[in-house]
Amino acid sequence: MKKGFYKKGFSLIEVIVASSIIAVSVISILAVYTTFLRNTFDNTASLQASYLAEEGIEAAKSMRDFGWNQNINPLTVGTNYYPYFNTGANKWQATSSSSTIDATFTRTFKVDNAYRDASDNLVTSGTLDSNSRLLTVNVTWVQGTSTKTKTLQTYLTNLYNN
Amino acid sequence: MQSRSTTKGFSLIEMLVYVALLSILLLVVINSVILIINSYRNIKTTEVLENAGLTAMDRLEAEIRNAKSIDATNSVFNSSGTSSILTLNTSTTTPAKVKFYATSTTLAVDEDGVYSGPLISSNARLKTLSLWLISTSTSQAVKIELEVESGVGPSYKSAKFYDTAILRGSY
Repeated sequence: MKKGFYKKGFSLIEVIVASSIIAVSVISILAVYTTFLRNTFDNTASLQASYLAEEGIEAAKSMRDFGWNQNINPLTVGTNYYPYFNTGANKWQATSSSSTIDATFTRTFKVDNAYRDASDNLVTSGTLDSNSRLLTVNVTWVQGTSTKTKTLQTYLTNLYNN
Repeated sequence: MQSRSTTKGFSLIEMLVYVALLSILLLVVINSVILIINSYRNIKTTEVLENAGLTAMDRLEAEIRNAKSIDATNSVFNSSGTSSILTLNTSTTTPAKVKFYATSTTLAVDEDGVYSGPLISSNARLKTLSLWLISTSTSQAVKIELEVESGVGPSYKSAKFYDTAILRGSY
């Protein structure tokens, strides 16, 4: 009877082991949950960056519409520029001085040479087309310890011969 | 009898250890419950905010791209407050005109002068809407700056969205 009674309960060691297993599992579940949460909240920045990248493309097209010779042709090939909106003149311009948007996003754009083959198709190597450029827009922002990037690419052409 | 009563229960030290362990565990559990409740509210706010930005920006972008020209007399540009108005002459016959305008809390759309509804859900609020008209010799474009906010107190969030869209019908 006495022996059986003693066997019934938990020893201190057992309790400590059991509670530490529970604690470790609760804490690890929490850690995973926190990671999910961070991803959820980071999504807003990703959405904002998508629109910024899209705006970069449209800004370059708008600059082309103003004048290819004035805005696109003088850009050094392979060099990053920062598009900025001139609120006085109501137009997009390129500058080499860096700037951030809302102290979070850095948006750059650059033009690269475009090449065409014998059938006028755009190719990576061929005859240089001086009236076309490969446009790359990059939006970068820092998220926690990593830097995130959104990139959009398109071709710009001297459509209006201006 | 006497010996039974001393061996039956737990010692004071044992009790203290058990209570301490239990309270630490409870603390962790209660903390996580609080975290989950708070984050639920934050997730809800973020979702409302993102939806508001996405809906408003996508509609504005699509309508601007589809438009033929700007109705300048019925538009207010270069305004940083909530008095911005954008009226577009569309490429279609119905509606021939689409008007976006900021009210104190939301962004509203009129189609051919008939109120068609808000673009931002009632849980989110419009903070500012700024519009700029970019006119070139070959095209017109509109630059949009939209700031929306959602939630109150510790779950308050706001986000700014930027976009520029060229009127494809203006070429």
